[in-house]
Amino acid sequence: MAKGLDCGTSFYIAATEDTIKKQRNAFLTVDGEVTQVKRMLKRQGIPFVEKASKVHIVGQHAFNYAQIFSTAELKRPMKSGLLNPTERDSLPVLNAIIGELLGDAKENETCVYCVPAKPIDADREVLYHEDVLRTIIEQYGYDAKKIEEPVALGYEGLVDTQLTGVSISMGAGMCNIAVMYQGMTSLSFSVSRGGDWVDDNVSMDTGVSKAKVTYIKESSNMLDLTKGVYQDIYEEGTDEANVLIAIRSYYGALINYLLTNLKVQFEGVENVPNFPEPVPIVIGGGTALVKGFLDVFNEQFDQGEFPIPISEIILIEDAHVAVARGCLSEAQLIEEDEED
Amino acid sequence: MVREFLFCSLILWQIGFIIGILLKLFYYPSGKKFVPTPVPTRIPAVEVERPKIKPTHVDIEVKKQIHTEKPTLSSIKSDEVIKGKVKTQKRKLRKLTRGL
Repeated sequence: MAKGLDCGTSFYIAATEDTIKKQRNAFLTVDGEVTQVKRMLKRQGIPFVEKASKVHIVGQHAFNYAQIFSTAELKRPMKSGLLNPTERDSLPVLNAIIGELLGDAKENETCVYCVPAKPIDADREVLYHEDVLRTIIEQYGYDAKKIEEPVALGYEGLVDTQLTGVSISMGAGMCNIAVMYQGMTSLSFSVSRGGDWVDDNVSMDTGVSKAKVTYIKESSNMLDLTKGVYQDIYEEGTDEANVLIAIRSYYGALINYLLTNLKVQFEGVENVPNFPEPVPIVIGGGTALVKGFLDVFNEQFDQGEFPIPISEIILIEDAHVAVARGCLSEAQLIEEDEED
Repeated sequence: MVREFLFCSLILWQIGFIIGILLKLFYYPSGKKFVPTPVPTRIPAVEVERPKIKPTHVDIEVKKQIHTEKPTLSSIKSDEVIKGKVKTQKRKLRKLTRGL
């Protein structure tokens, strides 16, 4: 059975034809005597990973724990869309996460996993990241194939325009952009800013911990970036309102950064296609899930400055899992090709 | 015996002495000069600066050996599992990318 795997900084999401599984990509190392800690975690039904006499709580439990105990340091196996070079314990944790999401392969199963496009604002290559993920996936018996993240999103969001348009995957660690024409990628790149960048800056400006900012962003019923709504909240003058205002501000800055760089990259590349007809921009990824996101995007978007005529700006259906679905479609087609 | 030895010795001395006088009187150098055989001298090689060709890069395929550590023990369960048919654009994508 074909499988698609979205390897995100914040979430790993696996898609098969009948199931979607999500796993928060974070962990927390628990101090104490290993046997005793394991016994306690087992008793409370908290998932953990043990490696080299260290016990790590993984996933949503680790995230929740970090909200409650502000001194607990939430660790991230990935940073800015790629493997976190400062986190030594990340590989066994990633291995366990991928193992749980995919399970062992039966015969000739294909797994298409996504990798970021080359970042334009960071001196990092994506090759090692790709190789590590491929090695782990192959360890579970899959035939691993990679796909660029924005292309996977385009496979879900640009099919009605003959795979022509702009796809933007807004993740936690980075934003990935592809300009596609008739299924061909004429330009793709990533920027090392995403939801985490928003959280970091909001946290610094408001004095609220980053973990709490993330929590508010992901779960607050009050969070709505639509202009009229946020102005009402602002008048209330609460602490949470300050966080929300800062979130809106940094969302605007992030989108502006993204669009400006897209324009610069597009103008600097040779052989870019001409788009005689307006094309859509399709947006996906967890960072785009916040209510009122399109309102902020439209505010920042200026057709006069943008090098491509745009017909519409669409937030893809079920944006969080759209990349995983694109990976799944590609995996299914690869399996069909092989059967033929 | 001693007398015979002295007699032979005297004769040899006389013969040597006479040859010496004869050489002194009749031998003259021929005047030919000895010319030393010319030995070819080795000229040291001169380093020639070769034209510099800017090498282009060559892509090589490396067999990477990446070691990824498996955990000793894992009890992870997915944070969220959504059951039900996953809606994808596979059919349209097949038409667009495979022309089928």
